[in-house]
Order: sequence, then C-alpha cells, then structure tokens
Amino acid sequence: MTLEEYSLIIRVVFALLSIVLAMFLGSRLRKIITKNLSKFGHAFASKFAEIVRYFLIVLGAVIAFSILSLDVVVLTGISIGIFIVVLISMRDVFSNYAGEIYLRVRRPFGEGDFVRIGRISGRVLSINSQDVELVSIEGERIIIPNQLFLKHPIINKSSTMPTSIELKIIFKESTLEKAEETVMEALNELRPELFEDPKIISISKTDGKTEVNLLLHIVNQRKIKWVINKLSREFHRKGVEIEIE
Amino acid sequence: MRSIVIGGGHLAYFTVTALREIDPKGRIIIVEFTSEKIEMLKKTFPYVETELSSVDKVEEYITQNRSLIDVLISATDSDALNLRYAKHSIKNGVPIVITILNNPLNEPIFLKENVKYIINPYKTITSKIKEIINKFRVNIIYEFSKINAGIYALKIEDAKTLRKVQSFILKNDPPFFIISIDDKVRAGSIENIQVGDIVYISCLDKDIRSILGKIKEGGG
Repeated sequence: MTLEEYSLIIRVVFALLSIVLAMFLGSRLRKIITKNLSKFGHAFASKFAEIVRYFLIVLGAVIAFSILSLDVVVLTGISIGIFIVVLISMRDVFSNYAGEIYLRVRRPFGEGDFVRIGRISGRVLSINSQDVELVSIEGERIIIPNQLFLKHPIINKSSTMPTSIELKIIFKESTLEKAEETVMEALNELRPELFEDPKIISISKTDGKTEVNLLLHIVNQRKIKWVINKLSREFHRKGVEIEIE
Repeated sequence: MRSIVIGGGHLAYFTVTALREIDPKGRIIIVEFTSEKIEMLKKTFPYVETELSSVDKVEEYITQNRSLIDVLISATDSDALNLRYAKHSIKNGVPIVITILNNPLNEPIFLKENVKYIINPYKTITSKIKEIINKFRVNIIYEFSKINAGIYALKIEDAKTLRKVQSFILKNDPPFFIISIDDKVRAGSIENIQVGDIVYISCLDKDIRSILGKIKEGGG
C-alpha cells in the first residue's frame, strides 16, 4: 500500500469519525435542550432541539468533506450560498419561528386569553410554530402568522375578565317610569346569562323619545350578539317598540 | 353567568355550591351520564338545570353551546374524561375551563395539554401534615391560580435563617405576619421575628425559591 493510500484511509476514518461525533453530540444536545426548554412547551423544546441536532450533523458533514481534502473555501462558499438562498426563500417561515420564540419566552398571552392585535380580536385557541389561531366574537376562526406579533402591539384582556358593554335602548313612545320598569323586566329575563347585575346608567327624554343607557357584563364575548337579540325579543314579546344601539 | 359542570359525583357538590355562592342568579347546568344521579342532583340542588348525556355526546353539547358557555368545569370521576372535555372546550374557545383532578399524579399531563386552571384537591395534604407536625423549612400554604405567587410559611430554625429572612423582607417588602413558638400571632415587624417563629409571607414563587437557596447556602 502506498503512502497516498494510507493517507486516504486515515482521512476517510477521520471524516467518518467527525460525522459520528456530530451525530452523537447532536443526540446528546437534543436531550439536554428538550429537558431545559420544556418549560416553554414540550413541542417547542423538541422542535428547537431537532433544529440544533440537524445543524450539528450538517456541520459534521462539512468538516468531513474538508478532511477528505475537498477545497474548504469552495465548500464554505457553497454552504453559505445554500444558506442565503434558503434564508431568502423561507424568510417568512423563519420570522414566524422567531415570532414563536418570542411568544413562548415572553408569553404575552396564553391559550384561552382574549387578545387584540391591530384590528383583529378574539380568543386564542392555539399557539403553533407558524401561527396563532383565534376565534372572533362572531365565531370566525382567524389564523394570524406569528411574525405579526413581533410588529404590532398586543392587548391581552385576561380570560377571566368580563367584558363591559354599553347599550342604548330608545323607546319611541313611553314615560321615563314605564321605560325603566320595562327595561328591568327584560333584564331580569337576561340576568342568568350575565356576569353580574346589569346597571341602568341613565334615562332621559329627548324629542319625545325615551333613551335608556345600560351597562352589561359578559364573560363570553361571543354571547354579545345573542344577548342583544334576546333583549330585542323580550321587548317585542311585551309589545314595546324599541331601537337598540 | 352560564356555568357547565360535567359530572355529578362528589366533586360536583363542592363545585355547584361554590358557583351558586359566586353568582346566585346565574345558570348552572350539570351534565351527567346516569339518570339516577340526575334525579339525585335535582333533589340536592333544586336551582340547577341538568342534562342527561352519554360520555361521547358531551363534546357535541359543548360545541353546540360554545358561544353561550362562560365557565366549564370538568369534574367527572375520570381524569381521562376530564382531560378530553377540557381540551375540547379550550379548542372551542370557552373562556374559562377548569378541571378537577382525581389523581394528583396526572397534573403534568393536564399542564402539557395547556389546561391552565387545574384544581388539585389533594394539594393541601402535604401542607396540612407539615403544619400539624410542625417540622418543615418551608411550607406552601396557598398557590394562586392566575399568577406564579403564593403564601408561604418559613420556619426560623436558627440565627442564620433569621438573618436571611430579615434581609429578604427588608429587600422585597412582602406582606407578612408571624406565628410564635407558643402559637400566638404577632404583628409583622422585622424586629419581632425570633428563632423558633414561623413567618408567613406572600410573594412570588421565584422569590421564595431564591430565599430558600440563600438559606441552604448559609447552612441554615
């Protein structure tokens, strides 16, 4: 066997060793990262650990190639080129991952919280790698890419915080006393669905119409429409003509 | 407020009583699987509404009423069912989903599935035993559900622990009171703390871990 052949065998052995070592380190690191990051969610920790593992394996492969005396500069150039192309083509995916890291580490809200971001508001159903799923007051499912949470302010209304809604009921023909009595009767029917006793803020008479301003507290924001409809039905049942604003 | 309690067993008794106290004019609906229990529940709680359902139809009931349910408490005798109903309710956007554990060892499974409000009725066993036997370094008296904080009892075993606890109180200014060795409640003043006393502090859980670490470092 010639000296060159010996040298090739040694380089192949070292190249294989570097791959095996990278795989071993990747596997060990995966366990350590999964354990230490599990406080941010098991799925997130596993995914992050998996990314680190693959990175180490690729690194091991690049080292192996360089040991085999393939031109390191060329290999590095190719690697950087591939990396840049991947980064550009998948920039939205990566910024969504960055958004997920922000959401997991900073925890501006959790599943079940009622949040508003920009003009979108709703209850958080799930926080995923790429997006957050909300359900709006109207019951629509909304998917928001995670990167938006890095760019827009988030308003988090606690999941247990009741929402206060103000309603204006206009009676076309009624006295102040009669209007108050009718409203209280209708509200009594509605009370079991509300968080606490509703309040009449004000009653006034303008242009022959009686205006009653009400304050209601509701835990489930999706109930608002139903509450207004039920209130209208109650007045209709009593034969009272009203408008609700 | 419309509250749904799933399961009509012994857990439901305490759940319904609490809900009634919170909102006497609210609606409480118990979803139960057996007609005998339904009859019993109607007699025990005349103010509640009942719903007879099969185990597999509960999810359908939740889905149909998801925009009207304010609070859902899964309190069946099976943790597997409690987890199933809690997960389904969260997925359907029910604002407040609470589950009551039958086996405290299942708590990590619920946490992993993002069930935020878990009631572990067995949690007081440890703190009660520690309090009665009066042998502990720290005793968790109460942990809040919405924030990572609680009320903790710290036993002043020696002069080093006393100094560490005094320094912690001076630095963080938490609300506290003292129970002396002869079981008398003393005002919360740092100078009043003595070796043998138990100091009850309300603070963040990370702060209590920090003070415990310092006590251990100090050999207390």
